[in-house]
Amino acid sequence: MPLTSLRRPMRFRLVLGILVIAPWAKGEEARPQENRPQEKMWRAGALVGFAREFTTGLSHWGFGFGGFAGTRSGKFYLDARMQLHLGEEVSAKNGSVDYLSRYQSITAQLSATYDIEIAGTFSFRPGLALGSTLLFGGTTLGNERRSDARILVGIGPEVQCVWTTATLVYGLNAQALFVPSRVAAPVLGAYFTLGNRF
Amino acid sequence: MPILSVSGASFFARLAAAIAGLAAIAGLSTCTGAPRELPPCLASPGFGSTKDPAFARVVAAGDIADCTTNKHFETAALVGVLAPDAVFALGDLAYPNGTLSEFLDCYDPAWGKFRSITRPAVGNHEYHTAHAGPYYAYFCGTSGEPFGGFYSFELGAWHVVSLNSNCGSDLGVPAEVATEFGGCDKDSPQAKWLADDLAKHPSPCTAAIWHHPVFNSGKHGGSDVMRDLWKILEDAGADLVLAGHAHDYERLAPVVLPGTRNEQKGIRQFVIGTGGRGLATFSDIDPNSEVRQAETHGVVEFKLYADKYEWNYVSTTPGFTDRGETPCH
Repeated sequence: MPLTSLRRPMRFRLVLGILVIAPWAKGEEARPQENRPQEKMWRAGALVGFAREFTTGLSHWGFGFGGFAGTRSGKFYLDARMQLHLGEEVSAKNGSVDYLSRYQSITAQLSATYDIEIAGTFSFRPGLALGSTLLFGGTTLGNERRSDARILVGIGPEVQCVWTTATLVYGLNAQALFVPSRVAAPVLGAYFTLGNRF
Repeated sequence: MPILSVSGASFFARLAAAIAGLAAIAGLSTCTGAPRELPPCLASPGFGSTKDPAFARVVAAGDIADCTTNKHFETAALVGVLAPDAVFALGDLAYPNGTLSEFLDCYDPAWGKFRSITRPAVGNHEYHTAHAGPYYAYFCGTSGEPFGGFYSFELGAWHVVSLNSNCGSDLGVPAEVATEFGGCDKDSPQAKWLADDLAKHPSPCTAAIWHHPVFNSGKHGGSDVMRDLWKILEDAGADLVLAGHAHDYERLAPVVLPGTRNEQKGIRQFVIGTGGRGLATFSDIDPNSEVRQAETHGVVEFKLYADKYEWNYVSTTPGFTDRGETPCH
């Protein structure tokens, strides 16, 4: 979305969102590598990001947010995620024709990753993501409307860049999902994550 | 360096607040500005009549607008020089996904000037966008009922039908598409409409346009799903089928199903996927293939007389030509 299309109410929402999220931030020094906390088994939190599909004109990805919960066994991590992608509204008209298309999606995923400790509290976790996406929305042309609700299964590689503290885990997830039933090229997504460790 | 921290006790409350905040931000991406302006739906009251009373001049091509190469501007220039009475756009008109912006920003600047005389067929790439919505919106109803994709019209002495051939399993096309418009088999609404339409419009010369060729030496091979509709056309004495999909030019001999050459009753099929998209070489050569090339983009000029048709491949670069004529049945 071009920045020039940001309107005043949207800026307000952005500021509001940041203010609401801001309480997460408190000062704490990073622990040195030798004190890297590993004892906690569980984690859960929120994620926010953007995804895009390149080989279709469908617009059910875009901005997305949701939650995740995960556990580990040694250096293997397993995460479950649920995300809502708000998609995009596309419309056009002239004096005779009105066209409107809007789609959104909910994705449920499992990912398995392997922890590669890089430095201090920072880890790099390559792995695999598998999930399904419920695509929903509709297309309207004049008085005719077609509604959709379809489930697409996707699988693909995922990389997590993760910082871990005594209570928090945060970082960046990037994934390339292939939807075998539909497209040859991947859906690319990137998400900031922020969660708590238990 | 300060980093993030939170007490475990308040975690879930803060998580809920964070998600609420993200939801507030969400408005950033749900609106993408004002609706795009579609070109006006220009009336074409004279469509169907011809500049020359002896024949209708038609230019046909498919697989057209690719703004990574802009070859479609070269083929559009050919259409302008030929000044046809009608343009048959044989599907896959705006690459790669038939989106609204691809139609408005890529197809329209080149081939849009002929839109009021264009009679299109819907291709598989149009269905990469939900329900091929931008295709139906852009062509203002000249492409049949919304979301249907089959219709007919008169052009000079000819009756022409445009059919929806998206009944296969093209990558990127949802399986539900065929169900949506009724499919292509002999009991489908499209088949019943076709048989009824041909019965209501008896004509010495009949042509059909659609996207997926039944006989094809190029990439993807032939589309068997259209055989039932081909049979209906064959039984009605149709003369000519124009298709795209394969990014090449191929002219086949008149055939009857299952693919037997028959000069008396057969339908001659042209594959004209040379409208602008990158060209692709041939694979399994159909035994009835008479002429083919995948070296140069171009369009085919047809002259539809009351009792015959002539064709002339017009290339964007000098070299390849293909001319000929065949009487109607």
